Amino acid sequence: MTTMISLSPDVKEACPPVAAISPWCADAFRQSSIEGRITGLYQHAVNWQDMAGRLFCLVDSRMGSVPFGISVDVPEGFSFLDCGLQTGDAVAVTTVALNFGDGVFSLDLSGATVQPAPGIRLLKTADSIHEAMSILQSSVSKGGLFDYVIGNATSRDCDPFMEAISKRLNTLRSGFRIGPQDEVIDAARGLVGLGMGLTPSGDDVLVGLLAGMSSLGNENALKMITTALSGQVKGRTTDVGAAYLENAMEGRFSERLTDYVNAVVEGGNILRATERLLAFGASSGQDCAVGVLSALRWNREKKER
Amino acid sequence: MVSKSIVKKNTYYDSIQLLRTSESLRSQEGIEQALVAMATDSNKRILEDLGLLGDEARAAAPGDMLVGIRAESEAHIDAAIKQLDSLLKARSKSRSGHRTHYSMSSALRAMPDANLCVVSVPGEHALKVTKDALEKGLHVLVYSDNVPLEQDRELKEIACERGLLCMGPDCGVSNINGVAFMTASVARRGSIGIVGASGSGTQQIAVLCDKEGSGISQAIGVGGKDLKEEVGGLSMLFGIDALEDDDNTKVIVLVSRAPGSETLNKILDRVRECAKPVVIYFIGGDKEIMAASGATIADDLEDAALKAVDIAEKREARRSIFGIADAEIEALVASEVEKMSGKQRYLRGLFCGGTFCEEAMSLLQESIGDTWSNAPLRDELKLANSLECSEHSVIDLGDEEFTMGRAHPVIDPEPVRRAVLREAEHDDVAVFLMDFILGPAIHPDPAGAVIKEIIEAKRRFAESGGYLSVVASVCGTDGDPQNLTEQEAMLQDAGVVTMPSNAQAARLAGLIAKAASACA
Repeated sequence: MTTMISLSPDVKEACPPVAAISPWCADAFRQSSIEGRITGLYQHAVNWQDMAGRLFCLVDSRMGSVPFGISVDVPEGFSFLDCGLQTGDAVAVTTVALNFGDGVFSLDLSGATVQPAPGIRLLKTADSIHEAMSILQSSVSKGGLFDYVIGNATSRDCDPFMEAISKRLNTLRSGFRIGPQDEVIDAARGLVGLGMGLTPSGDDVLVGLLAGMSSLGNENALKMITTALSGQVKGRTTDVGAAYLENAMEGRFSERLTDYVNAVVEGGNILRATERLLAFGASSGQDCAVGVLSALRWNREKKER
Repeated sequence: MVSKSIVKKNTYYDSIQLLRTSESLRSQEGIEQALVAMATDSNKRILEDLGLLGDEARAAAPGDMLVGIRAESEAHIDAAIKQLDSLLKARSKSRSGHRTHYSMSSALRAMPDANLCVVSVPGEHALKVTKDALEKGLHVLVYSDNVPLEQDRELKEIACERGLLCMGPDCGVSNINGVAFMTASVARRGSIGIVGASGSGTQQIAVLCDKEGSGISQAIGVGGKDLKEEVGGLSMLFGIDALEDDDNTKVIVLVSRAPGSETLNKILDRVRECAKPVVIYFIGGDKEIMAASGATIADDLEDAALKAVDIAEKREARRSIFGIADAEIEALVASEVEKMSGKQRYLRGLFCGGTFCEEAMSLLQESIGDTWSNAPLRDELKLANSLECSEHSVIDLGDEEFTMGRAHPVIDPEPVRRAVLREAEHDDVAVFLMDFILGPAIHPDPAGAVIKEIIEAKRRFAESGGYLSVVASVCGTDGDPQNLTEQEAMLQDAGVVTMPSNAQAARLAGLIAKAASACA
């Protein structure tokens, strides 16, 4: 359940109300006060890192919750880029307040209630996988993994990153059938940090694979990937990519990705879920969706054999 | 070749921007390879494998951005690096001034004055998306095909109830308020209103009105299935109402393949009551029954356009089958046939436009009789295999069997190229009949995309002592980005006889095939 949090009188005018706080963030804030620096500023989000290198995120609630974030209800047209904040500005967090840029932007967390992220549900029907692929195919734009992994081979653009990701996914696919081998472990590790963008496509597709495998309840496959990636993420990809991937390894996913998986595995409104997921990042949403559908397709292939 | 990598510390851009920047760098003169990405270990390994990783780049951290370039010379690399910052910050042409929205509500918030929604999603999702648009008070143009007939009707009933125009499903051509939608041509504005259940038919009439110095007020595409009995012509009836009320429309043209009899009667009843003159061209429709409605009945698409222009411009009807003297046509036919070998006798029609294909088969009956086809006039004329033509054959390359899982041949002409070379293998073929369609959303150079194959086909016949006649029409205007005059000139330079309309091209090709048969 979403909890609306009242603001301190002195920040009410400037700051949006908090919509939700993730359990992981709440735990971190409870343990000790946190000091850090802003590492990324975007229209819909602000990222900051504490002294221990943990990444946190303040995000526009319309983008849905993220596992390492606090979501806030902001007015239409609001942009964090216009708040007077800059990369490198100080951030201080206690259990009662979140302060950016020495008072430039503050949030009152005193009444915050934690909102657990919705969980990924188990596969009920495989009938929707084809529909999900068809919708994704008609919705994706150039720049993501779809064409390389699921789509039409003729539209390939010989991008070496995408080719490498595609090859490594193929190796993982065989691992999904026959179990872990050295080359499968190497392929999973080789996807970390591979590809363009702030969250490289390799990270996104791994997050999608983990989400898809969670819906299959396939503990062996999940273990195969999480074991391969254990200790192999931090420092090997961007901070944002690492934050999403490490949370995914713990079974924590963004709200939009969770909604997408649930729509596909339960036969829900896949078109809407796809549109919302694709709006996440430049190509991240597409790459996550490719990961989800790959996991579901591999499972179907395995059964057909 | 020389390589260089540079590092931009703590710099990030989204993946789409990095992809575009990489592509832009690669397209520059002298650049063989260029990649831009975050400096993660995996990405560095790819750059290393490609020989694009220098020492500084090797030491970069995942939060840094890497650029690796291989080029013919240092000067080329320097020129590319100079442009790097502006490329990274530039928005692509297609994105400038536009924003991608992932829901209709979001798009409407950004553009609250919008009153028309184009729906182009897989057919199985078109009902939901189109209903949503109609419920939001938007007129709709549904490009999606493979929408079941009952859903086609349901959408049109909802639209009619709300006083909204539902163009489609399966609507490929509309010109609304001077804007060419989907595969329509850019046609001059004027006083002729068209309601068409045929994309290429609507387009042909619009461009011929333009060619005659007249123009169109609106061209309302209603989708290829609107006049089927199950749908009942709901959008055509709505379109007639709209054009009758439109002050800028003086004459209304209706174009379609033959409707079902019940639907035809509904349309004719409405035409009878229409306060404005109506021209009808329904391919294969009973002319006597249609004429009883008081409408002017056309013999072909060109005739429909000319009759509409005659009425709109109050000019005297001046009509001959060809735009030039019969003697000139006879001389042209003779000069094409005299170079052929004794074996050559058959016609092959290779069409992108479905209505052009059907119109051609209908007109060819006058000269060479029945033609085989994948979309025949009668079931008994259906080819067993669309890739194996027999005697006189006409192929609709835009038919579903050719477009399943790929773009329509007006966008990707690969099926046309293949068909030209395949049919050139048959030494009994005398003439190819072809169509080329222009428009802002069509292939940027439809004639140029097939010209090599046409030249090669002609060369093969010449080598074996024959001559391949190729007759074509180009449906478009000089206002189209491909330019009608330039496209026609390119075909003529390759030895193609171009005619101003599909009807004239079909009749001429029929005469050539008939004459060739007589000589064989």
